[in-house]
Amino acid sequence: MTDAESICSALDEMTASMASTRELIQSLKAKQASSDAMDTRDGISLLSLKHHLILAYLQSLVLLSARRAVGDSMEDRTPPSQPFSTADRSIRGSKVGDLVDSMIEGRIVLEKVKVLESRMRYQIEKLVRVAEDSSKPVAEDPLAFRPNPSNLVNNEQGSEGESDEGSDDNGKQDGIYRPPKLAAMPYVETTTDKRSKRQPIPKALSSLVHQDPSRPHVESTSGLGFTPALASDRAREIQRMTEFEEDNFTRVMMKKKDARRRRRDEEDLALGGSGMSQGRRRGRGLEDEFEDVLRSVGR
Amino acid sequence: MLGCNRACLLRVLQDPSAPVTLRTRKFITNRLLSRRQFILDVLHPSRPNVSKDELAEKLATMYKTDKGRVVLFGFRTQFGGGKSTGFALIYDDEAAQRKFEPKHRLVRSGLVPKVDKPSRKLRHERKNRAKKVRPHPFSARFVLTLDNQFRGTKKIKAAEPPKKGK
Repeated sequence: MTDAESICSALDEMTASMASTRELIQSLKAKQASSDAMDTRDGISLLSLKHHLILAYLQSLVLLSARRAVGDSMEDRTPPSQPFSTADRSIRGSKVGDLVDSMIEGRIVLEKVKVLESRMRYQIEKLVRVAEDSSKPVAEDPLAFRPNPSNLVNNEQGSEGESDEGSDDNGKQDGIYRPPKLAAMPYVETTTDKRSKRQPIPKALSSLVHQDPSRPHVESTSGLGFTPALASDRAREIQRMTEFEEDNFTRVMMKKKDARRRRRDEEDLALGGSGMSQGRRRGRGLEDEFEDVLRSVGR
Repeated sequence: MLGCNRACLLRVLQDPSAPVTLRTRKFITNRLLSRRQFILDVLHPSRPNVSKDELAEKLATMYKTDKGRVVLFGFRTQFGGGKSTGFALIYDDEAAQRKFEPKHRLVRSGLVPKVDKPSRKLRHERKNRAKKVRPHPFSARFVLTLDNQFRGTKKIKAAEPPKKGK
């Protein structure tokens, strides 16, 4: 008897909450239709992706529990034929197994989204602050703009050189010898030209490779340092070198300078450092923090 | 005085007769080169590096071969001491070892005597000097090197003005 009572009260609660939710949704829909305040087309698409994913997850969860209550097995599924990465993948079937699969997918994507969101946290908080408290107009608030490192570059062009007019009027007077262009010479592209002009991968994307929470957590055996040492390029390079040596049964032949640098980096890694002794002429203390900013100077 | 104490202390801490542990990794029996090859991890706490001699003895007893068939190379000590990693080869017989080992390693194991040559620079200088040496008057080389003999190796053009100092 008491079980039946409790079930009845639970069902009544459910209907009451569903009715209130329906009212709320109807009021939101009315608000969206009337004003432009709820238009998220220009907003951060990552956040709206999160909303859609969580919504889909909740729907699948509800349907799954309903099917389980009825007694369907969780094994039947009709999976789509294309992999996750194709843009126009066909929709999954609506069997119970498909619901489970879509929930798993949603969870993995949400984990990755969380990592990216943590990288964008500062931007999002700033936008929220601006939206909430709009007492100061944006143009007057000095913190409203992103850093512009190209302003730091010294561009003094016309400060000298007005004095010597009669001596040499042809071309620039900066004292550098420029040979006369007599014949066409072929342009030989060195390897560094292409390398430096290529677009660097944004740090948010490359951090997903090692900060991915769906991968098993990597810990270093020394216990020192909170990030895995494989995070730095030099650590990965050194590990690759040792792997090569062990696989091919040789020691890599390197110059004395390189051998000493490798030894120094290995010692640094063993103590929990990042293993970069030659990172842009040392003194790399703050560079990791401002790497995004400094990288965008050339762009 | 303090420095002397520290040196004595370090010598006391390093025990030359402490036990050494050998571990092998990636063991491969190479039938083509008739040898067994593996990566050797030597654990030697409280001891500096173990000599290749001692390691060869231990490996010979472990794998029941002759000490001369064991070849060790490429040892590097890990940071902090106590562990070194290197490569080891154990040949089936001496003929295979002589055939397949590179010359410098055969010299290290004593199977081939070291050839003492004068330095490379000296050898090249001697060779170049020998090119200018006066050959036997009846030899063809004398006739062919007449230019070199009487005009010298430096070709001087007749119309070339004397060079100004740099």
